[in-house]
Amino acid sequence: MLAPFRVARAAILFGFVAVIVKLFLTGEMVKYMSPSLDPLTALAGVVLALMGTLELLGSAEHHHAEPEHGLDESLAWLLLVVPIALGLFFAPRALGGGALGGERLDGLLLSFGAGPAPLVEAQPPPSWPLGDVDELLAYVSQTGEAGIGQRVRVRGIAMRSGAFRDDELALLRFSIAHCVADARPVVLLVVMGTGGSAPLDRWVEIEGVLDRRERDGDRLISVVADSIVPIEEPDNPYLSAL
Amino acid sequence: MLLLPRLNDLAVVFVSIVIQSLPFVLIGVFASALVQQYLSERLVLRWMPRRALPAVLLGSVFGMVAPVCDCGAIPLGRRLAAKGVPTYVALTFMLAAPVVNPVVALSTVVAFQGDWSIVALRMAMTVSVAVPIGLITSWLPPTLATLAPTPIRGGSLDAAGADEPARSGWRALIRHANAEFFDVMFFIVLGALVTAATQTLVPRGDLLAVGADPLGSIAALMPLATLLSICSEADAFVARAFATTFTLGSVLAFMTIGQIIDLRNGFLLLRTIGVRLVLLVAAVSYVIVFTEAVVVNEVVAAWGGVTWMTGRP
Repeated sequence: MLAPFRVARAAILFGFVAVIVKLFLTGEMVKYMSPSLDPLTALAGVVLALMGTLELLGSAEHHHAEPEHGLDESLAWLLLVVPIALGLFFAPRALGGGALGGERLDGLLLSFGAGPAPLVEAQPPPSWPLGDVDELLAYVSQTGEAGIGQRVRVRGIAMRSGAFRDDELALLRFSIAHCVADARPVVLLVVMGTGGSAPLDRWVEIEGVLDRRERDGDRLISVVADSIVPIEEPDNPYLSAL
Repeated sequence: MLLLPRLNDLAVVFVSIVIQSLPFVLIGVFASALVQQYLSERLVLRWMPRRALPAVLLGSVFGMVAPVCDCGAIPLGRRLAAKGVPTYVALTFMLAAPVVNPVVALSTVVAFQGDWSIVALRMAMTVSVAVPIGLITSWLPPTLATLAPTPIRGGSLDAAGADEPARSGWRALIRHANAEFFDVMFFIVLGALVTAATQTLVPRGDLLAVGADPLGSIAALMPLATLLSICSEADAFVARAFATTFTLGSVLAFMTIGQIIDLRNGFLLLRTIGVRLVLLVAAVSYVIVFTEAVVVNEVVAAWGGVTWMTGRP
């Protein structure tokens, strides 16, 4: 006969393992965690499985001497079941505009750094469009305003603010270092062509040209859009802060 | 199962904190189990300085050789206390270790583009909080300065160990870790739930609107750090994002206070050291960190700013 107390503990440990396995298999782990932590998370899964196995074996060996366990302890363990149930049965979506927590979009717009632009060797810019926001930021950090004119293709959530002009919108992404709890917004100004429009609060892909727009003394990084196309949420919606 | 946007964000943040905590909690509980199994009280008594100041100083830098983050520091500190390390030294370790360790030093220097002065300032501020709190605790009567000795009922090493013969080796190690894990995870999950709810439901826009004000920025970022409860190995990257609009003192205060008083580990800390010690830790740490951040801002203003706060992406 098995000891129910230790079987329950083993079940919780295996529950955490099941969440980790499920998130890796479905590709949903990137909706919660930075891929840089994947090896550590996988190792945690292996260790938890080992702990669960030992707990299960122990439940068969020592069921006769199992101590009493109260209602408060059962309730405490119920709380551990909540993240397991959510991890197994909840379909996560990336953070959206609501996660800004009331921070003003216009206050988050990326700008070229103060002071002189970095000196770059005279080399031709890449002929292809830069792939996404992370590539664009890496490019700008190397070239500064010398990179203006480069073709770019960026993806993010289209947002509007009352402080924007009629032809402007914001492209919102979040960057994470470890997990979604440390997400910080990355907001890029987009200048639409005449009569241009974009579906708000939706993922879009924008092709255009890197440019600069001055406002209140700031030299804002902007993308002059040639096309704005609605897309599905990408497999990995977050940028890496590392 | 799909949820409304705000509920979705809450669930995603909650689950992400729990998953992210798992490896670091495991490091902490296995370190605790190793201490339980292999560190004898005689060894502790031989190596522990007799006087409070050297002992507290040792506790404040012990994280450099026992690198555990904030999720693991409390179980390890509690186990060290159970092995004879004085309470005030174990508390000093629990407060300092999440920052004063090589892994966090590395993540901070990466986040701040190789600027080791930020790492040094961050560690110095953390030690400057942990040491006075350790010394104050050493003067308190034992009835006030105590740590919860073992995990809660059912997760208890004592209770679990009573039903089977004493063992050594890797199976005993895992059994100790198991018991510690179930005690710690309840509080981690509870803290994650409260943190996720706070992050999702409490608007922080107004709080962050005071970025450039020397005093207001500190007063804004310190409680924000407590509310956000970001892991000590990741918070430097968030702090770096704030660095373009906030003062240096406030950014350092964010990285310091967030690892001493935070919601995620608050329940575990409360359970471990009790309400009165938690209030002491919170009051002393907030006063010291705020004062130091003001001094940093004054010095930076006198020197004319720092190079990495340019707003360049």
